Amino acid sequence: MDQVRLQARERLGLADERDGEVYAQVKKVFQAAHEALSPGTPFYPQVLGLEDDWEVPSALGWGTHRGRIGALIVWVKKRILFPLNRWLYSYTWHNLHRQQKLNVLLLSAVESLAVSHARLRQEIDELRPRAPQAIPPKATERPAKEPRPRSKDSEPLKLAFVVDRYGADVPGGSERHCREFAERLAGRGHEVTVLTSCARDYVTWANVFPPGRPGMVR
Amino acid sequence: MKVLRFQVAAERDAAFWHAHSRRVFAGLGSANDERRWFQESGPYTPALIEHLRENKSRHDLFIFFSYRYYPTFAGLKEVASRAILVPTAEEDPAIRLAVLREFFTLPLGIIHNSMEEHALIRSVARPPFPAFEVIGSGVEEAGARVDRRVLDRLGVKRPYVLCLGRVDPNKGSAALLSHFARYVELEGESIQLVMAGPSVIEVPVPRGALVLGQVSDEERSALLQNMHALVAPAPFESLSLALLEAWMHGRPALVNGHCKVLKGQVGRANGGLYFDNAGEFREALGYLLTNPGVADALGRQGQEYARREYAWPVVMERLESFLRERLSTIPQGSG
Repeated sequence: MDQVRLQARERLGLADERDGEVYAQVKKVFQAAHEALSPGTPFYPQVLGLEDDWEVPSALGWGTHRGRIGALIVWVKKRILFPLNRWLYSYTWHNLHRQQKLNVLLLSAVESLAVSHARLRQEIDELRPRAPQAIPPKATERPAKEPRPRSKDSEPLKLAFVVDRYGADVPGGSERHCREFAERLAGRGHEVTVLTSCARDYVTWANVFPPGRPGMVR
Repeated sequence: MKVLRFQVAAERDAAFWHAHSRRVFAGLGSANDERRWFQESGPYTPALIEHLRENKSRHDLFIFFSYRYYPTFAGLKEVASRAILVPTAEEDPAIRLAVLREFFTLPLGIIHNSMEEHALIRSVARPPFPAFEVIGSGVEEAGARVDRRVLDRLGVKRPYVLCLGRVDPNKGSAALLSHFARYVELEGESIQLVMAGPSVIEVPVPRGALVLGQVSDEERSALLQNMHALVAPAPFESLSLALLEAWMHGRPALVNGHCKVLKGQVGRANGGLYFDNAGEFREALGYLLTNPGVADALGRQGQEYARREYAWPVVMERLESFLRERLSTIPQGSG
């Protein structure tokens, strides 16, 4: 079967050397799906065999053992109940046919998805050995933005921090944030200067620290 | 590392400042009135501004913290071409001042605490927006385990949820206490609420709650290590370090859904739940309590997020590479 398919595709100019593999994979998927279906679920007439085998013979005799009232009952059955049943039957029949068409459509969509899924999987497998870290973890993504010469990268920066208050005992979120950054950058070898006020209290800003340069801290 | 301190030339005149604040926040002030507001807010240090002007070429970059203080507001424009701003902005009235429209376009780069802070500043700044990066601050890994008896001394009973930080209506503490009172009323005292941090107000403490005031570092660690979850009730935050600390301890968080930053962080980390009102608070707290497996999983996810984004080595690497990248855009020899 695969051989026939391959030859047909070759003739049509659609040949792809990986097609056989792809179809084998897709077939495996469908096989698995088919086997997973429990038997006995379909109640669709076509799967019950030939239509004639189960179809009710419609040649009905319209006799009755009753008298006058019997004629009325026969008339009701013949003119009302029987046509109603017929109509119900054909209505259901058409619905089932519509459903079948839809199923075929859906299945072909699933099929094309399965084919492209198998193709993609092949492509991924092909790419993997060539680039073992095709998707690098996020943390290493940023520093690797653009490689710059190592000498310039390790040169210490001359940084000045400007903040309203500064000190180990100064409360406040942004003040603590600033101190963490300043101290840690200094710890990494950068030349850090902090420019700040003499205040500790952020309501009055009263001068409490001595002005100027109290030498090197830390 | 050098620290240069400059005298405050004029202390804050609280009465004048409050009146002036009301006027400019109402949008009634001119641009000059608004600039004056920054000067009134202080710390008014003209010598620091003078120093910046004279020493512009002595530093590669100037890193300014908090846009709302005078040294940053007045100083940044003196060295704008070498300035990096860490705005630490929150959703408060000051951010709407008209003079900031231009101010936020001045620096060479901006370091944000969160994506939400970036959106806020971008919404008030005039384009084009400077280069920026969301870095935030770092947070330490959870420390060594502390003896659990510390908690007994404090009167803490497990399970409990912990709220860290100032007890202050501006931080959502009052709303939290009333939500919790409602929880206890309907669900009973199935869990304790522990609040640790200095109190700025006297608050009525509902049944089942424990307000500890300032705690020692050891007590703080013990509280973080043994809590069931952290509660972060603040309506405004630029970056909640308490939330990141909770995650470093592998515990989930229950945060105020009205705070965009907290809600955003919890969503990004998938490390907790948020509440918008007392009913949601009750539901969420009850859920975390009756589903310890889910609570643990949320805590683990938060821990992964905090380690990936806010561990100090990661933060410092990002900070340094952002600074170097910004510096590389300055033409050589320009002052």
